[in-house]
Amino acid sequence: MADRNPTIVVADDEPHIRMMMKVVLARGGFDVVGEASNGREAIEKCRLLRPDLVLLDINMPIQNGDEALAEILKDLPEIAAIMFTSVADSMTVERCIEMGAVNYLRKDAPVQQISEMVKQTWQEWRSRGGEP
Amino acid sequence: MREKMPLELLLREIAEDELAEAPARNEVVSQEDIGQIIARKRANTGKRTDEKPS
Repeated sequence: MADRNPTIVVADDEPHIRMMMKVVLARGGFDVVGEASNGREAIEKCRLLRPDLVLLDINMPIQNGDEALAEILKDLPEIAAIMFTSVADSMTVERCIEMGAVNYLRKDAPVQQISEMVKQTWQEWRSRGGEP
Repeated sequence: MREKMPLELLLREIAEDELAEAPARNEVVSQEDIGQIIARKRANTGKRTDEKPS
């Protein structure tokens, strides 16, 4: 991979969460190349922008993040998909990981921890050969 | 020690509200528990998280 910042699409129906994550991820060295306010838009943005990563909320209108996860990874398995949600029951976590999410972050984690975990997830994903 | 950011406080407040409203369908897990679930899934199933995409 060229020496560039990893690109990421942020999908969350809450505009202030998207705004906050743009700031947090930019500080962490990521280029936020797209935003989506629902699962369908997340799929469209991923198809269009081909980001390195996608950060997916679960509870979103029109199409949930877990449904979007399945569609994104069906077409674009090279994308590292990270769930970022307040849904924190074990069944949902296991289902998303089985579907191919590379990590699952609770929204109430400290901001610095979120940024570090996204970075760590990306580094591990690359080290496993996940880069496009 | 890192200084608390207003953004962090905002996010935490939102997340706590959403978590409080979430239906208790299953056991709610901590971030640490999630890490263990992921590690177990990788070890047991060799799912995509351990595989190099073709």
